[in-house]
Amino acid sequence: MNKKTLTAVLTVCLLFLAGLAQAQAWIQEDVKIAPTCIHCGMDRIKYAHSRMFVTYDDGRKVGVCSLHCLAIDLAANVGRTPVAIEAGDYISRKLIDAETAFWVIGGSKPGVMTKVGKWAFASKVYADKFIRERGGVLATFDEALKAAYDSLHEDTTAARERKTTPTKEDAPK
Amino acid sequence: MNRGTLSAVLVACMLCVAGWALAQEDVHKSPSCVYCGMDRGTFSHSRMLVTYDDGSTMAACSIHCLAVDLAVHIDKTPRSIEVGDFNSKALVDAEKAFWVIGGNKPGVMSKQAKWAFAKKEEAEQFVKENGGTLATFDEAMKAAYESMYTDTKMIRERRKMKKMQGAAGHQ
Repeated sequence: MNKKTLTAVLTVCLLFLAGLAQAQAWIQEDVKIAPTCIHCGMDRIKYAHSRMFVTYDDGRKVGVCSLHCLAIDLAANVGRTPVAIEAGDYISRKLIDAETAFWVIGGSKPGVMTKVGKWAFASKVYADKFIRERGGVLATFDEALKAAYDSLHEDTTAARERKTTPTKEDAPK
Repeated sequence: MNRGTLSAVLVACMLCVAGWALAQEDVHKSPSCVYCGMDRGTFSHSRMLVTYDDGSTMAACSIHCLAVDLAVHIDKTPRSIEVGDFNSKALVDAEKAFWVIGGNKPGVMSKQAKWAFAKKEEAEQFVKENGGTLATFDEAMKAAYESMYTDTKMIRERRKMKKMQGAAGHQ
């Protein structure tokens, strides 16, 4: 391997590592503060594409796995006003403003903590692409939040059954 | 009034007070709602009490706050859910109670009221006088979750306004 090839290979490797570091950059922010969902305990790295992060007016910061758990947190904290609500972009996993994001309700991809998926996209192009490929309807944050509350009864009942029903592994041997 | 009658009246009064105190025992133990902080004595006609399978209890002012607690604690199973009877204020089994959704009486923590009655006749009487529809506990719970979006928004805005008025008053 001559000097030129070696330099090229090294440059490519460095660029790859820099890209990887940038892609992981989001992990260092909100996920460091809240690695698991405050309500259901689910891993917020695994669910980076649906995770949410809310900052209240008293400075309290809460990390959740999904819009379902955000809806619960907002209802449990009526004394606080959210000053910022962010959602993980479905494509890049980076936190984006939930209120200006393009939301998709439904589609063939199973939701997080819910039967009906609710996904946030920074770009409308990707939201439309998702709908073309997997179905669902375009919505605003307000519409997605309302849909989360509407299915809360069914989703909570299902989640409780999943959590409290012993699995095969739990059965006495 | 002779001495015998007076004693009988006094005993009856004492029994009434004792009965009322016993019926409101949960209010003494948990005077305010875990979530919104509202007085459970003032809202004894809508208050709720849930006992989970691990023995823990949670006292709320209304079915709205109960719904929040059930959503927060999905890892626990409720062993019993009780509600204050709209008329007698005594705690009754929420799942066996006769519920009324809506009507012209303002709800607690909700625009759409949800009331529980131990007796069906009393629920029907309420509907006759105030409107609303008869429902099961499950239907009332579903309605509580469905109206949570607007209710949460409304409560937050109301509290924000109160805070602002308070701050203006201090200036």
